[in-house]
Amino acid sequence: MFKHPLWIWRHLEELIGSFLLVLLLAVGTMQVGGRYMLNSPLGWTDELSRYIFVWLSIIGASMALREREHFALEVLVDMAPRRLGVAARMFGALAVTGVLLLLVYFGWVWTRTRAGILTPALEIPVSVPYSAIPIGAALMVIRSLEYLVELMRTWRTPALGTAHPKGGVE
Amino acid sequence: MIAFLFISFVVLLLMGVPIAFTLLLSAAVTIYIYTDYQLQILPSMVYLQSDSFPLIAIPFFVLAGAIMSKGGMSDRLIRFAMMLVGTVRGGLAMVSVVACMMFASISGSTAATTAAIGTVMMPAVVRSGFKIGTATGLQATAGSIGIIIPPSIPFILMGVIGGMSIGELFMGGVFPGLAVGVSLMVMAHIIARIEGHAPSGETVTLKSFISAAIGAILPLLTVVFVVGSIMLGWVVPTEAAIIAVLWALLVSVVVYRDLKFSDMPEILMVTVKITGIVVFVIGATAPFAWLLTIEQVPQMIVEAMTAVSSAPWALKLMMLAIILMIGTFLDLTPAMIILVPIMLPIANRIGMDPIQFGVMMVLGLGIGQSTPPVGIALFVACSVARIKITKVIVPILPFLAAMILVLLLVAFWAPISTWLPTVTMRGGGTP
Repeated sequence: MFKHPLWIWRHLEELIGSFLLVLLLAVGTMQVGGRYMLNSPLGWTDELSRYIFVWLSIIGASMALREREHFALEVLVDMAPRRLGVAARMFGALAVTGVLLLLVYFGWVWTRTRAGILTPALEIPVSVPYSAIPIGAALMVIRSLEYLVELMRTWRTPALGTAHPKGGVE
Repeated sequence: MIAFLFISFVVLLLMGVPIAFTLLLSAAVTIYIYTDYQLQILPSMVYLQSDSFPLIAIPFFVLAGAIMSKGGMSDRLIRFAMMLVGTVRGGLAMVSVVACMMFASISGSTAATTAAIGTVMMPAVVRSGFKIGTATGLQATAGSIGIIIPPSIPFILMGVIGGMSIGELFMGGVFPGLAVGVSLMVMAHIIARIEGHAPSGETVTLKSFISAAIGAILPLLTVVFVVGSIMLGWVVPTEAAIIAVLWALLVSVVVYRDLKFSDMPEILMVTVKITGIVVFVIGATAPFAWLLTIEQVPQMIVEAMTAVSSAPWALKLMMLAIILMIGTFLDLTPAMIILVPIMLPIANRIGMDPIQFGVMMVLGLGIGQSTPPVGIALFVACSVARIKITKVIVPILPFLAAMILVLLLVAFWAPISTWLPTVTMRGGGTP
């Protein structure tokens, strides 16, 4: 399994995401069980599952960015001459990085301004769920930069293949 | 300001920037240049849009579908479908449609349905005499029924964005989904007659029918659980989705024993990724949609459309044209998030039932899933059949025509989508 020292880094999103998904299923099962078997809603399960879900989504978004499977309209870029296509993708990756940096910075500011506020049911700091946005976006910044580096390599290597070896659709 | 928002959106989109980031960036720059709001609203809106209990149904329905398709269920459904329609002329094509409908009632996703049934059925359909292009076209259109037959992820999104009851939308999709299935089967039968295929000559005995039915009953019970328990008001859709996952696990691990522990990582990973893609684009649309609202763009579009004609039928046709056009170029999720806030006011003005509107939009955008240039069902079907998309464009046309007929039916004959939710849910007093 651990064929490469960087294996964990390369599959970080899958590891965290799968863990969160199993956790979400466990909490969800408790909620259903609590309401229909014990006849008393547990109260905190609704809130906890929403927070796990927010984290799960942003981690999943990072995984999709790494595998470049976010919804995109790539007809034009695919048809363009090779160098032009790579240049457009570089510009695109820079744009993605830029907007993610906005999310990191303003997400951090936004989380900080709400420091000290507690969530209604679990009474944990709201920064626990809120920080999913800046932290998840920071992870995506790194994935986006990795793609940019890959594109630069493609730019230098003459012809042969594109930087966009999109695997099958699941 | 709105011109800037749209132009930057379109330019970035055409350059291949993923649509979620396109929406965020064009909204961010517009907010910065044209308004006095702080950019902190960007992360807060993305967060608040995804912090939603109904949306949690998405990963669970995806997970249930993934478990079921790994757990040896598609073979059993196909065997049962074979008994039902396999002996008719063009029967194998009809089997793949029926199997897709059954599979769709368990899984919420088009790609999963198309891949699971197409892999098994397409070679068989071609062997029975259909051209490969026709078989692929049929598979792509049949796969997109997945989003109409409950449980359906687009209906969950529709409920969250448009403020409708997800349960009622599920009910509303039942008959239109059946209608699409029947119309595709009729079309396949007509093609088989024109091309002069021989009937398969297989016979169905009572014994083989019963054994196939028993094999298919456990997975098919999922839809009874999900739809039934929502209908009776016992659970909300998210809880129904959790029950679906537990049931899927029970059937595949304990009863069928086809699911291996080594299958789990892939099942979890696919679910994480799909959740990330769908939920992030929902969150990313929030600032964009908010800008449209504060600039009153929906009202402007309503004005513009009613200026052309204020007759309800004309407005419906205009909506359908826009839905079909946008659906061709955009994936279903982003298209829906952009179109619902714009079109729901029109539907309200002409007195259209929100459920009918929701079903109409999901079906219309679903047709776009099997058309180039952007169509997930078409991509999956072509990659399973290993043929180029250009080879399918002509043979798929009769099937698209059949689906568009059903779309018109949904748009102009309300009871097909509103009757079932009315008798089952609105009378029962459940919200």
